[in-house]
Amino acid sequence: MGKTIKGGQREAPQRQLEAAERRIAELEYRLQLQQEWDQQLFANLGDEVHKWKLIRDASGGITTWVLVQVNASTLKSWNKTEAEVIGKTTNDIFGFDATTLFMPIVKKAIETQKAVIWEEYFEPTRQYLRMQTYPMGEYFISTGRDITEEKRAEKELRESQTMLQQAERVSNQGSWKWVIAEDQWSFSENWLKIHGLSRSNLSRKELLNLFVPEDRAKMQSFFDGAITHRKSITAEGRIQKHSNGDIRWVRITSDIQVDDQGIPICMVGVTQDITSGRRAKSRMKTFTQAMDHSLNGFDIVNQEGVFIYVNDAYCNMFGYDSVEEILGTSPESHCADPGMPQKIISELRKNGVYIFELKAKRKDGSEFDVLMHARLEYDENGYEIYPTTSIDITKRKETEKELEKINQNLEKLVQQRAQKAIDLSKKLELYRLAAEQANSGVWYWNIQENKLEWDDVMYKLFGISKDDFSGAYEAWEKSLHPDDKEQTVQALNESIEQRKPFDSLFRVVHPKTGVVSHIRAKGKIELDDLGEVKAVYGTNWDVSREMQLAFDKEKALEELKEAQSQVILSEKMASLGILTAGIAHEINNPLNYIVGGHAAIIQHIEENHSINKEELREYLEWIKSGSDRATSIVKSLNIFSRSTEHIDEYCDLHLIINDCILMLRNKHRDRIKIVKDFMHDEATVLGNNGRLHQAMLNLISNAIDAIPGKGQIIIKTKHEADLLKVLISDNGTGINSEHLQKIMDPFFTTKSPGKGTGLGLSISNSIIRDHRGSISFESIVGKGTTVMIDLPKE
Amino acid sequence: MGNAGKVLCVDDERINLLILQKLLSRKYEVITAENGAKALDIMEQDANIKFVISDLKMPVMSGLEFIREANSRFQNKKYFMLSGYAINEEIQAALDSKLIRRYFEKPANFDQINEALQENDS
Repeated sequence: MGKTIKGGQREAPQRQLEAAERRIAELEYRLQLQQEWDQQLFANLGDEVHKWKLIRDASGGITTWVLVQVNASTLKSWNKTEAEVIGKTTNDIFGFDATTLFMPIVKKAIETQKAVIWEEYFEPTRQYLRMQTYPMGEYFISTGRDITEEKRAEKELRESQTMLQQAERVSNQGSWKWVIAEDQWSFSENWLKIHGLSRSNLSRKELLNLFVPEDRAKMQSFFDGAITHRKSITAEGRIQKHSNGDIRWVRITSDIQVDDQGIPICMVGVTQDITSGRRAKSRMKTFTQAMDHSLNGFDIVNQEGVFIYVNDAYCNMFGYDSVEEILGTSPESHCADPGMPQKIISELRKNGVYIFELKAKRKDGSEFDVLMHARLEYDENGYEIYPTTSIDITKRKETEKELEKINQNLEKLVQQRAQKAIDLSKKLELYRLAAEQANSGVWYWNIQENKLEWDDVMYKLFGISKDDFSGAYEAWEKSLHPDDKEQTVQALNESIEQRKPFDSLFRVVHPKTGVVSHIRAKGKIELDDLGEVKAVYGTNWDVSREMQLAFDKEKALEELKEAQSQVILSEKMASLGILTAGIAHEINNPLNYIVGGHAAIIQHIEENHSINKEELREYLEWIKSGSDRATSIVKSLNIFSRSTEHIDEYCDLHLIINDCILMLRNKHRDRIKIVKDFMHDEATVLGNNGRLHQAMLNLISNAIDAIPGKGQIIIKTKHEADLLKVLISDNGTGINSEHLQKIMDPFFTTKSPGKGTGLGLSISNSIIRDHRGSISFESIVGKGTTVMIDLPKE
Repeated sequence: MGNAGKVLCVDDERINLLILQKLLSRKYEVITAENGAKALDIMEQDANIKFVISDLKMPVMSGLEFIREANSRFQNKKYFMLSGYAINEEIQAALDSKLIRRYFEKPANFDQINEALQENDS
């Protein structure tokens, strides 16, 4: 840096010279001062200043540059000493290819001969720098200012502005500022949006005109008042949106700032769009008014169970003079059942809504019917409230009752009519029967003249056409079924001889078709003046259908009887089936004694020359014992299968029970203990031995079947008044009460198919009944069953 | 008293046991028991029993139950059954599995029983 001062004009040589020298000295001094100042400035400047010399290649292109001068701030910032950097290239100094990085800037400065200004983030020093490069011939000077802090502040400001904008948008409000002295206005982005504006340079008049004409005066005085009173003020008004002409409600809140003397400087404020709030409020007001004046009762009870609102209709409905009388009281006294409100609340907590009819109570205690619709809601603090609508339905109830009455009367009327119709149809039925009856033929037989007269029906009944009928008695007789002829003619003759009414039933054979029909004939005798039989006359009618029915019925009855006897027989066979397996075994054992005795005797004889009488006697004893036992078994079987039906034998129940136990031995011996608890006296009844055996066998057999594994059966006999009682108790599975009612029914069985006929008990029961006795049961499932047989003593 | 081995006869009827004792004792030593439980006790005491002849229907335990139990406890015994019943499925199964060697029906052919014992005496 420096300037070359060229010599000035020469005037008077000495003076001019002196003057020039002084001038030069002065200029040099000033220059020196300037240089010192510059030097000081250079050295102490906060900004970085560095001077670089360009290095060119042979063709004049810039290849790099080296540092020639640098100030203290730079060295501090670079953290280097002067010796380390002077004469070095940028690459050497910064340790990376800074030449390439800055080349475009340097070239631009040199080429344009103008300063280049740019900002950059310089990684090696982590700084934001605002750089300037000035071209100076083959040199250039770069200055750099650390703007890191500046940048951060700028960013923070930007962020806080964004936040404010967002907050304003969310809360639907915008802010503004008015510098009063200069009458300058500024607005936030959202304020503009609220007003539908796109520009912010608005005049005061324009601002006022944003409000609807009716509100302008009010807003004018609002601003005037704010300034006059120097305080925060809130006002509401309507604006017309510039963009679409919508009318919106806004609330403006302002704050005023004053200087030391209390003179207003500026006013800041917030404008909030409150249209939706206003609308909700206005709707609420409409609803509340509707509630107040509704013809239906409306009330709100709070969580503490007291009225917080009732309308006039409710008040009237419940007979109170004023709303205030009710507010704060409990709804309990409004219900016939004071527990009702609590019930309603619990219903509401379950379902949210509850619609119900209630017997309500007026102030004077009289009761009436109300239809209520209650809901569960929450107040602004989150507490439950129960708004309820009530309609007085006393009238409706009365109407319903009346309607019911009318309906009942109507029903009665309909019933009476229906009865009449039934009666009428019954009469008609009679007529019809009579008409059918009228299908009877009338005949008149003049005996003296042997002339038989028939009406039309008679021909039909006999299947004869008028031309084929001679009208003589013989012709009639010929029509009769050969099997019935003799008997019918005889009956007719008897009537004539004894002069008594003729009443007969016979078959006729229609000559053409061979159809046989049954004819009922009734007749009377007509005597002449002399008392001789002159004629017989009467009616005939067809009774074929009745005869067929009677025949069918008889046949069905016979079939039934046949089936019954088959069933009883098969049950008897089944009972025998139960026996045979056991009987065979029971007989095989005594037979074994006999065979064994015989074999022992043979062996004894073969082995010994002399016979040992004692030994032989023992073997014979075996044979005797075996044959005795076989005999008794066969005897008891005989009793069982005896076919006599008489109930006049002496039957020893003990004997019968013993026989049955013996016969059932194979079914129980290895698993069931049978305990006999017989009374000492004889247990004799009059009856049929075979059938009592059958009954008792069935009952004991059932008791055995009721025990699935091991168990016990107790058979007890005893007197009771004029009865003999047999009790058979098992500790088996028992019978449930449902089955217990059915066990005597024929064919009822719980056994699997093929295992039981389901007739055993039913037959046992009928046998005991035939003996004028009875059977009853007691059973507990899992404990066992007791069968009680009562028989009259002999 | 025979010496061809010991035969244990099990039957709940005394006379049946006496008969077996008489008719088998020419060749065998005959021991008797009137139910399965007693028979098991005897077998526990006497290891030399070769043959067992049991009735089927007996109190306490059936002949088959007894034979099954005995077979599980003792080895090398030969079991026979003598009963008034015809062969049923259960007995047939026991015969098929060789649990029972022969099944004799009452009234018994005692020669047949003697022969069978001899055949199975190995």
